Amino acid sequence: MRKQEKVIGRTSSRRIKRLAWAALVVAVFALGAMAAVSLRTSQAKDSSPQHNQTQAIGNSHSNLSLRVGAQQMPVDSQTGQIRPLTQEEAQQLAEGIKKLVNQSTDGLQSVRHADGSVSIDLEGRFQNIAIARRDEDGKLTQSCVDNPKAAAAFFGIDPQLVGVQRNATSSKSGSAVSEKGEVR
Amino acid sequence: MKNLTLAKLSLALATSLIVLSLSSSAFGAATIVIQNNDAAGVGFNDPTPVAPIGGNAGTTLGQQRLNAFQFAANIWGATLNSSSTITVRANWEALPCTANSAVLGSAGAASIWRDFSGATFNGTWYSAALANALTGVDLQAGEQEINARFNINLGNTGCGEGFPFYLGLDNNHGNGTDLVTVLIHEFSHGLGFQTFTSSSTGVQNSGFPSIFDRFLFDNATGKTWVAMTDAERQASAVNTSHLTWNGAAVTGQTSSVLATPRLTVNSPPPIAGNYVVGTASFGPSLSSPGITGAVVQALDPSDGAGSLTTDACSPLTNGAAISGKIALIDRGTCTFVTKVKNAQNAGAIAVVIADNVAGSPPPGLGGSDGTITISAVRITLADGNTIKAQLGSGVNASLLLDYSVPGGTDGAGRALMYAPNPVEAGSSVSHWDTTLFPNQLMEPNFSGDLTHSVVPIWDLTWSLFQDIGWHGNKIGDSQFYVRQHYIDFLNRFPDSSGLAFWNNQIVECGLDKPCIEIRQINVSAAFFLSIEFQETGYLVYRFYKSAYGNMPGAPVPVTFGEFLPDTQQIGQGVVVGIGNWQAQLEANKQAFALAFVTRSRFTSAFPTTLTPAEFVDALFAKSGVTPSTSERNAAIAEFGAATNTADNAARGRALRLVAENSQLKNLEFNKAFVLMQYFGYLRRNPNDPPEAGLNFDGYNFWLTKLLNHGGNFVDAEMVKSFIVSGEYRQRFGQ
Repeated sequence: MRKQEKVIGRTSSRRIKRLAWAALVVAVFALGAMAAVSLRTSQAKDSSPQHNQTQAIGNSHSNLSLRVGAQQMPVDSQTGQIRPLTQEEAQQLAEGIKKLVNQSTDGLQSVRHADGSVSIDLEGRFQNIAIARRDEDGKLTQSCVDNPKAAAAFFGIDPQLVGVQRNATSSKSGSAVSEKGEVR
Repeated sequence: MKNLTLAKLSLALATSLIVLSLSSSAFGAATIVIQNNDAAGVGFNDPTPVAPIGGNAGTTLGQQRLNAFQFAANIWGATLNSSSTITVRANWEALPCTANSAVLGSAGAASIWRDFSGATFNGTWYSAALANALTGVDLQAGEQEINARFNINLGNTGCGEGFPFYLGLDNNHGNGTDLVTVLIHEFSHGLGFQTFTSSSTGVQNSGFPSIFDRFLFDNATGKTWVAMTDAERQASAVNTSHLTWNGAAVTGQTSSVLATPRLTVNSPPPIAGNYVVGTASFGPSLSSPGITGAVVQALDPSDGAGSLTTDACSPLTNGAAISGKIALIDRGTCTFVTKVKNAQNAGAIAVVIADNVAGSPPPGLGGSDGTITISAVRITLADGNTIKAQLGSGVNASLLLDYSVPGGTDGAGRALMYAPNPVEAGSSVSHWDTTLFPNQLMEPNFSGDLTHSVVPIWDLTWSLFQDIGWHGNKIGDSQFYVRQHYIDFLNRFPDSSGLAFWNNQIVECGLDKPCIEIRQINVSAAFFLSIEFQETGYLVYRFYKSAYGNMPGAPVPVTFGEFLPDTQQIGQGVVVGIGNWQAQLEANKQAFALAFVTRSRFTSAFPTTLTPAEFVDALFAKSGVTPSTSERNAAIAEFGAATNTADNAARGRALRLVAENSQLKNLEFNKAFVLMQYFGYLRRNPNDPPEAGLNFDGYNFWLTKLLNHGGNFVDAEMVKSFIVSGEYRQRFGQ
């Protein structure tokens, strides 16, 4: 991953995203169709993974996973698209993030030691968290954040869910994330 | 220079493991331990059998996790100093995730300290690890300095299904998530790369600033964070492109670490100049001075793979024209890696891809292919057309990193900190700005092209740690260690493949300390033993020996001051294994020999009135070699029928024959090996300060010891002693 790939997200991102989106719609529909075929015929076929082929590897009521190359991607079985977070998932993520990213000093105790030094046990606060998401186009993006707002923005969830007031438009494609550039 | 001495090294390795297994790490400066906080059977204790991967020798999932943690910890342990053990209390647990989104893990300081003995600033918070290092004792014995917890479910159904951790230690993560990189980054926060002041409110932790805040400098207001009000800090945290780091160590390194990638057209004059490029996520990174060559349009058939004859989607049809040149290719139809691979297969030395749609700046080139060994960039459609219009005139260009324009700095060379506006759109001020180039470990994103090196010239993190008070040594970084050998022994910067090869010789040891130590020794010795050094530095030594013998009162023939410029001259442009290095070396040798014999010292010692036989006999006498009749006659014959030695060219050839005499090579080998320990590692003469007595006692000691061990440098512990010496290490830190 080189620097210019990040430029994509900040400069010509709209144009590129439009192009990428169009390509992805086609690709994802193709993947979905192939998955559907695979699901229908799975009982009669060897289910061993095949690189560079799309293959269904799981199923549920509304979701399934595709193996694309060496990677698995959860998709919506009806649309074939990598789906956004459900409200339930967003809530689940938010609850966990709130616990992990806490920069409040409320209740933290300063301790003065005999040598005159002072310490504070941070009690697990002021931690940095590494986070990742698979975008709709299948790209993996990763980042490190230290506050709930940043985490919420990264995952594209309502900042109020992580306990902060919404005071600006959050962007799922913040410039802090690393993105794999277009490949063609 | 990787082809040279592996057989010798393997033998040495086998004979020396026992000796060195008893010693401590050659470069270890801080001990960072991973405290396994997992219950039996889970996390670090997961007994699930796995195959070793990427240098991680663990055979259970838990052991591989622990190995990756310790490997990342050792990277910092080798480059930072602390007399107090740094404990990372770590565990694996279920962290928030969905099928496509996940928290990978978290880490940070366990506690913060102020007003302790040794603090560089009073009234200032330090992370526990740094406080312990500065005060010299464990301020809170028995407690961890860093907390870390990582996602035990990542990669399982319903939790980051497409991106499990890569547990190898070799950074060969492909499109996966390199756990070691994530850990190095997160440990850095725990070691002090973070503020404990709220960037969203500007409020200091318990009314005191963090040591980090003392170097956060807003170049718009001219204030550091410690000089600001809460409101000013709050504003500064979102003052994009104005919040900088003003520490001297970082600022002093930005011009050597950060750069701007460029395509520079050298000719023809009408289009000469710099062009903005997008870089590739595959193939070798650009370098300085980079790659220079003629630019040639790549041609391929119009076929099913690509309708254009300039898209390189099929094997090229003008391979002869492309070979050794920079291929110009049009974007479109097939992947970038396909195009570059086709150009590489045709012999291209680099690729420039011209965009097929308007827009600027040019984005990067995505994709992944580990077999691509040439660099590639993208230029805009307009720039592509400009260059294409001049191809008939012959275009010469360079792909390079321009270090005169450090990417991601302000006008004063200060690195920019990440201050997105609004604040929620990204992370925090505890990261570099994302405009730094090349990508840095402590940017908020985890870029796939990061190395595991944490020191300049690759990364600024170690420099920031210097600013906040850490002491340490860059030589503990294996890639830096290897690079320094290229500079010290071969007088050049490493070629990318050589650097990777020799670095891997060390890195592939994983956590095996005895292996690491012996590899450090053997890699180091390999530079003296290399063809490249033997044909440059050691040849210079033998020129002096042949011409003058040993210096008066000294057991060596040449001083460091004489040796260094001569070695640089004879090695100019020579990279063994790359290009026509043999022809370059031969030309250099001829030029050097001619120059050497025309120096006043030589002409004074060897007047032209000497007969050829007298001249040759004098040289052999100085060298200490008794030549065979044929060897003597061959040297004399260089003068033909002449009765004197006024022919400088013949003098040079005759001198070279003596200097390259095989007996002389063997006779002086060990002596030169010892002398090069002083020249290469210590950059001084054996009798220079700080040598006790300012004599050759040290040199004689090591020569005697080496000879007593039959020339086995490992058994003699000679190389090891030099590379762990304080004098050597002090060149690169504390």
